[in-house]
Amino acid sequence: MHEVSIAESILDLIERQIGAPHALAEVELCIGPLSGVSAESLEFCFTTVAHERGFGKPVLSIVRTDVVIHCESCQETYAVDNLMSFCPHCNSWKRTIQSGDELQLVSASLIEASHV
Amino acid sequence: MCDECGCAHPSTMFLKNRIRKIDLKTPILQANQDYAQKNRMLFAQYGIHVINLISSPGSGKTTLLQTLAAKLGQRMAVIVGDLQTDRDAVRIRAAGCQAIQIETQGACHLDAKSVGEQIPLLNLSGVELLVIENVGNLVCPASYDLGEHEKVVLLSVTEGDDKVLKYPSIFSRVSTMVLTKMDLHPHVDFDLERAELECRSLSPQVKSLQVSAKTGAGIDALIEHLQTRNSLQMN
Repeated sequence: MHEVSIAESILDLIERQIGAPHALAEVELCIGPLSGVSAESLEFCFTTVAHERGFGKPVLSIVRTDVVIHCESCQETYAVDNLMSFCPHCNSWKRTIQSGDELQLVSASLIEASHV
Repeated sequence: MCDECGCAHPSTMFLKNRIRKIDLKTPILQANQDYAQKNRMLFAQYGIHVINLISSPGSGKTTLLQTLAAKLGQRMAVIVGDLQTDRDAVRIRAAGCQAIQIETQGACHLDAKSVGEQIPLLNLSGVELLVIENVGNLVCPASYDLGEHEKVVLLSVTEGDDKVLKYPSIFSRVSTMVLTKMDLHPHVDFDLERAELECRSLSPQVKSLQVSAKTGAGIDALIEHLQTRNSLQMN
């Protein structure tokens, strides 16, 4: 399980962008089934790692993508979350994976205090 | 003192939190990819071909490398990752090629930075093939580009023929699958065709080879494959 080091990489990227640790409300990611990263494990550890590094207690929002597959038999394109599935159109196993390995930091929402 | 922003106001009641969203749209492992790119450029300078060898623990990565080292000698070099001990590097050196151990101290994969730090410690003149033996793990190493030219997965017939689709993140990224411990195949129910078919369903161009590091069967064909793949001039 390498989700703690993934969490560290996310915080490194944010810190590099804004200059220093800063209280965050939310961090958005996009993760695909072929990324090799477990979204559940990352959700489990992220807030703790962020808090320890001085980023407050951000909520982690993960957009989970599907694997997009092109069927080489019937030429249809379809999306699955599980590579065990055959082509839903022709039951073929001959396929090309078009996407599904996303591992992207989408945005970070900073909490900025302002006097009213 | 206000505990939100550190100002002198005694209460946070007069503070209003404002949320500022910044778009980043960056690969999470961008820093690793930058190091991997540096490694790739260095490998190109030396003109060596680099493979990232990945498998479960106990599949026989080190045994296979001992067999290859005995054939290729100083034309091969190895960087090997394990959580602890330098046992694998000692075994590979004894078999006849350079080997450097990375002890990850608990980390479940190698990253491009730790590999890059080892490159200057190797004498790469005359080396045609550099094998990076990853930590035994079919999950985490899949995410980390080390700057290699290809990922090679090793699957032993004692592990079960249903493993490919259980670990799609790695089997969808490989260009060569080596089925090993073939000397034990008569004693186990490993369906070679199934493993190959399922691997092709994730990586259509994958080349599948069968070897036994113990008996040496298939080793010459593996070397020949690496030569063809890499235009290596090995005997």
